[in-house]
Amino acid sequence: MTAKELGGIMGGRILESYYDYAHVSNLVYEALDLGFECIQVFPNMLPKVREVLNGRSLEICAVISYPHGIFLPEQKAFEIGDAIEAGATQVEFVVHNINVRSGNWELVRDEFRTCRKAAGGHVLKAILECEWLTDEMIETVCGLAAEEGIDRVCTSIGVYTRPDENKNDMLIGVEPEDVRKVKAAVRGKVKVVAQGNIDSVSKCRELLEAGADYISSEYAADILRNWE
Amino acid sequence: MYDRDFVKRAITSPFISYLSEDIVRQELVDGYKNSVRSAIIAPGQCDLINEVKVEYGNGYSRTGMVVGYPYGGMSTNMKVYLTKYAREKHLDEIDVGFNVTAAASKDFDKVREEMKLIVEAAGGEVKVIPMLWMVKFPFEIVDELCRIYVDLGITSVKTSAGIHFGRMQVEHIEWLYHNWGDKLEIEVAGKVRSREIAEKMVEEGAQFFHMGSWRRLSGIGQDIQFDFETKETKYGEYQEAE
Repeated sequence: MTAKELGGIMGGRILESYYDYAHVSNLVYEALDLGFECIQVFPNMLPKVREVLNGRSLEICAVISYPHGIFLPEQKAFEIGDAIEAGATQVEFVVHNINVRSGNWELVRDEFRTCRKAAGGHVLKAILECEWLTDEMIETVCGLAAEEGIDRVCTSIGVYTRPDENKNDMLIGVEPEDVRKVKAAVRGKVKVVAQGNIDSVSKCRELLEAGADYISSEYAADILRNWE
Repeated sequence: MYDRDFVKRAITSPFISYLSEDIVRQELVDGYKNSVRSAIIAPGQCDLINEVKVEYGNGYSRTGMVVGYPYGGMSTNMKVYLTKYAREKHLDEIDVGFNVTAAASKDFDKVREEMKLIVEAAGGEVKVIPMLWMVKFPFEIVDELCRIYVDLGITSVKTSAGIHFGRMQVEHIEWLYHNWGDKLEIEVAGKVRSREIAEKMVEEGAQFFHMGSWRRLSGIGQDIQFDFETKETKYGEYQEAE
């Protein structure tokens, strides 16, 4: 895969509390320069993105109900509609994982259906949090995503930490095994986005080899520049 | 050791994604039974908290909801929509994530404009408690945020969030109380994991503690723990660093 080809499946994201307007502008310029498939931003960054783009074309994905996802379907629908009106061309919502972990499958289905309707023809992505889910939960939630027309399933949000052997907080990242599980569960009906602290070329390669259709990373530009 | 006074300073917020609904309910019920200061839920849990409150309300514990928490990355429209929703559900307070991108850019007019709309939407019926992100922002920015909040008639702040790196330090509370303690009630959030640190913060002016460790630090029981191997969530022995 060439860097250009990788760019065509790469999303650049800035979803943290320390990014300012300059970071938003820089993300847009990097995306245009390196050919990102999309950028992923908070809804409140959309006006700045559109200002910087100044009419140029770029897929803009707004994150919805981020990061915890514990919202009612109609609340997610409102936010999706609001983001699209503000210029988002793709939307990515965090799944209500308490419902997933509780086996409330009809509520999960209703959420997917409501979000699908709210997004209309725009690309719709659902963020799972594989780190919290059993294989059975991943299997079922991915099956529902396929049935309800979700376009892409993302593996993780990547903001949580877990203690290491020295009890220090370490960010939880997506692992190739997560991608393999999701890939098998969607049975080719939904594309798979690997996301969650992908910070190197080697990690990116592992995830692609595991079957990821798309990569989403805060380090998208670095990975593309160092891709050989 | 059980400490009733400390429980009354505790704020529980059972909406992290690895919970299941039975644990969420248990947290809320136990919170009310033990008279925590507040129980804070996500927007999708309002009916549950109101249901639990009917049965276990104690006249002291307050109900609240997060709005744009913790990054404040939602649009102003969405935050106002959620604030109105909290008001319709007769909640006592909302924890609000301010526009972090604007604050990081020192575009304080944008921060003020949004918070003003949220305060108006709350209509004096729902207490607005905005965040400060003290573990991320320099005092210079925190100071400006406090100035905006006080100007808008806000009387309480939440210091940070526990979702990411960075832990609240006693020095944060010392600074905040020294500069704004006469105008803003201090609710500490941001990975306070030991009773010793919490007590030092109280000495420096902290009033309440928004934390997942409220049971352990109050001497009531064990914290919620997630087992990454079995993917089970249960009350268990403390595992994180102190």
